[in-house]
Amino acid sequence: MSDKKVLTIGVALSDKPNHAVSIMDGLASSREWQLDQKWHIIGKNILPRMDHVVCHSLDKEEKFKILNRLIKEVTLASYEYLFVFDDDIQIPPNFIDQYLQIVEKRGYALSQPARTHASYIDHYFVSQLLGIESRQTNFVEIGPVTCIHNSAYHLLLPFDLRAPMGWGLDFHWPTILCQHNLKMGIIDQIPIEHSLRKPVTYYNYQDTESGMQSFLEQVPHINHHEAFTAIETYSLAESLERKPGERTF
Amino acid sequence: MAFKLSVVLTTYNRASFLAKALISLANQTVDNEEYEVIVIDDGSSDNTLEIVKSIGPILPIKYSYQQNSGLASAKNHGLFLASGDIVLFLDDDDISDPNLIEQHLLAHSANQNPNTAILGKTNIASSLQTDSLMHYVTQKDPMLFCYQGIHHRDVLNYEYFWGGRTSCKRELLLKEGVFNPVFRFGYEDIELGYRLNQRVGLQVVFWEPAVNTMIRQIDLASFIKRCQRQGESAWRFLEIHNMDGEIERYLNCNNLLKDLEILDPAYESSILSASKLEASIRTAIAMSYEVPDDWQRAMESAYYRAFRAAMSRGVKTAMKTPSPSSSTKTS
Repeated sequence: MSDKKVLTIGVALSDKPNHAVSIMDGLASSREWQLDQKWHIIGKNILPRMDHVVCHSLDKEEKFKILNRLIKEVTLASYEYLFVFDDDIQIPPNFIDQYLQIVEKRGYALSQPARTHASYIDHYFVSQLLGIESRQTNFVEIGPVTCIHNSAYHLLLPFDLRAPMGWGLDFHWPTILCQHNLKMGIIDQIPIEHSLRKPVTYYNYQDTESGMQSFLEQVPHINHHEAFTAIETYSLAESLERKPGERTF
Repeated sequence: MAFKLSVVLTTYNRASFLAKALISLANQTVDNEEYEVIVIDDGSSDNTLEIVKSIGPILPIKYSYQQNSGLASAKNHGLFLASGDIVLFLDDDDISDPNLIEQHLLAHSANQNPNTAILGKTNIASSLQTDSLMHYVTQKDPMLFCYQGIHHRDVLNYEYFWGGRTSCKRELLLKEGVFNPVFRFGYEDIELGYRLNQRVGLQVVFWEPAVNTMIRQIDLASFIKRCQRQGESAWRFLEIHNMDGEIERYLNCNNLLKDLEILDPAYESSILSASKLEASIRTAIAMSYEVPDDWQRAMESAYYRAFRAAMSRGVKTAMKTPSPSSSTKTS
């Protein structure tokens, strides 16, 4: 096992259907990385296992406030990567090792797994491309799984709480990363399934949407066209992969 | 650079046809800077890459390779790489008329509703028109494509969202739905059209002057294989949408199931008889004999049975295979 460390943080709603324990178990199986998990549970119920739960509260609280608190409680700089997880997704076996192998190879400072086609989809652009390992993009969603490399912590964290439920950060972050020549990507080979709970079920869509618009008015951001155009795709068939720059003839 | 239109051309092991298709795209009436060509190589093992490179000097091409994953995924791949406001999906065995792109652009400026797609016209190369199979599948029993009964500017429904000759606003797909990768071949276009229709009322406008020409002759064995794969996709289409009545109507499901009962047991003999009859007709033509009308009629009937039997064999295969859970949910 490498001495490189990964921090995963998440918020789980224990009174709602969730996959929190299965996510925790899946993450804990990493052989390549030293993994620390820190989960905050909201709800009357407890989880079948509470090993990685660092806080349990009854009252609803804004997710990104909680995440900022979880981050503040650790020495973030000692972690190579930070993952933020929702509790209603399913991850494939050996997720962390395989996922980070691709992220490291491509040098993505900010990344997310693609969503399977059976998932709820907010932006079709993030749906999985078969036959593709990953793609360099200008866009990475702020959940249900987001991965940030150490080099981008000081640029993206703590989470900007002006963005309601994080909405709009995904259109703002690319401008920051671009300024610092940091790459973003979507990992198609290791997708997640997001089909348990319909998003935006437990908060108000209209309020969040208008909150996002007012957030975007205050910060530089990219438009949909820029966000949803891939820069480069990398095939699963390694032997036939071309060198960068060879793709356009 | 933002283009007005992105051509998305998916290909698999058809380098020689691809060369002709790309050359025709290099010779368009609109300026090269108004459009881009994206070739998605769906895992070819032939010289597709060399062909693309050789055409590079006359036509800038964005080429991307993927492990073989089927048409739907390849089209999504092209869609995500595209930067044009309009995407035009073309096949690798069609030659575009010099004004094809100009006509698609014109059609979209005349039809600015974001939910309107444009269907172009595909002809069969004159050298293929006398071929009995090509004639049958385009004129007698429109299993390939058929434009009988539709006219320039007709507003059609999702059933005409035909891959390989249709363009639409890129925004429409990114916002409302992309191709479902369960469909490796067949119905990936209609299934998406069906969903777009459900969500936003997709309309397809037939634009007759936007012409391309199919140059690949399909032989009987290939068409049988194609029908089988279409049968599999037809069943997936029904399954994914929980045997929706509208799709049952579109696919003529009663006939599909009847064929399964009646024609599937005669699968081998149907194909053999079509194959023998076709060989006899070809021999007669090669020897300059006039083919009797009753031979032609028998051929048509043999094609009908063979293709239906192949389709039902595909349905049977799909029924035995567990359905991948793959109907996209919308937030």
